[in-house]
Amino acid sequence: MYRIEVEDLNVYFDEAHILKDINLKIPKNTVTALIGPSGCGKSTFIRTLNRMNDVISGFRHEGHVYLDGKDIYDPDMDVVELRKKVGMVFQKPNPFPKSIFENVAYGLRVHGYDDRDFIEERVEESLRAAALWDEVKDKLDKSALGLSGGQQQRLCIARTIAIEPEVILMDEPCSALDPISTTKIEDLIHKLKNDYTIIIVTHNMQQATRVSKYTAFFLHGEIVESGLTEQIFIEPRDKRTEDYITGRFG
Amino acid sequence: MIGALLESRLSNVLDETVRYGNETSERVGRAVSSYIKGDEETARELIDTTAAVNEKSYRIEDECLKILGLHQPVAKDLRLASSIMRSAIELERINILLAYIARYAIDGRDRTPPHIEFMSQTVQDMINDALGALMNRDIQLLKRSTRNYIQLQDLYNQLQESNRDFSESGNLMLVARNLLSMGHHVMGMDDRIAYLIVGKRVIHHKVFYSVLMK
Amino acid sequence: MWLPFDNPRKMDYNVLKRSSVPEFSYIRILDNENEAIIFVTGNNIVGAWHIDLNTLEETHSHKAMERLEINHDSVVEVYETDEDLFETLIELNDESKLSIPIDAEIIINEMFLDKSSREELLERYRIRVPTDEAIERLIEDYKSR
Repeated sequence: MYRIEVEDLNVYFDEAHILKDINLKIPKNTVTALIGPSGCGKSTFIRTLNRMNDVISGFRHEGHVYLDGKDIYDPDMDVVELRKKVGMVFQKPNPFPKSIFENVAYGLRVHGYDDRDFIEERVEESLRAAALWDEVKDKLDKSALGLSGGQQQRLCIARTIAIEPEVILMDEPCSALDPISTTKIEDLIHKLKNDYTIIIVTHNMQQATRVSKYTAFFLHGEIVESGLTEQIFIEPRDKRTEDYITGRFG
Repeated sequence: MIGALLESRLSNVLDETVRYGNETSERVGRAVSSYIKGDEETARELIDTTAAVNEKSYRIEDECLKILGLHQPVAKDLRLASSIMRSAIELERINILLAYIARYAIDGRDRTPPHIEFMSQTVQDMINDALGALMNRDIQLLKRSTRNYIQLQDLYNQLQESNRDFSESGNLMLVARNLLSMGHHVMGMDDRIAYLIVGKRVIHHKVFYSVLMK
Repeated sequence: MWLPFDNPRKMDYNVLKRSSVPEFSYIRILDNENEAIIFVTGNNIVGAWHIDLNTLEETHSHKAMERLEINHDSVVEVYETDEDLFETLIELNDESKLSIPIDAEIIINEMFLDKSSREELLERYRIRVPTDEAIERLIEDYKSR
């Protein structure tokens, strides 16, 4: 029922207490939006979900993050495997300076797949799933850097889903994109949720309402309120939530 | 600033709705009074001005649509826009019902027991309390508005009971029916205003369902 | 009386088991003459409202409890809610609050009274119900003394 369960999570960078007593359950095959003002911990939070914070000096945590019932911070957790299961799409599209094909194939190769036919099949599947295949099928060997911003972002999504993750984390995936590309990505998210659990950090509240079923509101490193998106945006329980989403404070 | 702009637009359309509502309430009183007194002149004036008065409903609804489309309000702002729209629609209906009452004043009135005047006063109180609740997010005023419905239904029942003995009912019961219907419309407004104030989807129990199903 | 717009899970009275009365609920009791709503949490009735559908007289709180009746004609509907909504409903309908909560047993017993249980009870204790004639004779007999 829940793909991820976060229990009493506290995150510190040296002495700074960045995330405080976070409790959140992410249901399978849904989209959860994380909203809140800049600097309130949303990005730190999602980077905790695939242990990307490990590489930042001074990082330590308390509490638990369970993925399918297993704590991802257990000493015997294989972090490479974890990052296969929990993929990430960043704010600024970051394709490799390689061909379109190689961008998508890269992850597969890194995880030990070397069968050419299998890789070709997966690349096509992933590009189709990312709604990009028709636009690039005749130029798979061309450089990915020649694609538009929106296409590059969809390529990054294809790259992520090629290795069949269970969870996809998205940190403001559309903030660098034009409105039409944004719509395409949102439509894609809508489709992807049938197969993946998606967590998306966004500053754009209309985007949160359009794509997500659940929303969590972060403020000063805490979750003030979380629940169904329609409840948060139409009948928020906490005044701080209401003040934020109605623009009474920024 | 976007926030201040939305706030001021909402505030203006709310003021306009309250003014429209106050005018409607006053027209209810005058319509019934014209019926009771057989005042044809007032009756005609009310009928002639109904369309113009109801233009306000369309303007209010239109402004709310713009607010929704352009500002995408959420939470209490969204609920406020929704209550305002609902109120405008219900007030339009009430204006049409009172125009009919004015028509009956011209067509020839029946006997006029005091119930009609009481019903008129009750409806006006219901409208005024609903508007007060909308304006000030006052749940007590809202409850006062809804509590008055029972009184309205009771007066109507009494009229219906006493009217059984009269072979020619004329249009007394039509006037009473219209006033009862106005009560239903105000209850509709009250439900949306409750949602605005309470922030949860509650509505007032409709006793007329149980009465009808007896 | 303010109630939720989208009624939460309504439990079918006929299949309702005593053990499954929800932690927070309101119960509607309706027949041709009366309608009542009681607010029940755990084992306690904490609020009540009653209306006489003929006279349209409304009563609240303990007075409403006095008017409350469940008979074989009554339709009983149990609506489950959550704590948050329940508290909102109680506050909105504050005039129906009971100053002292009443044990919900009395209502629940009425609701779950199995119509055949009387026969079962009599059977179990081997009680023979006297006929009407027997009762008449008994009364006559008593009067003649």
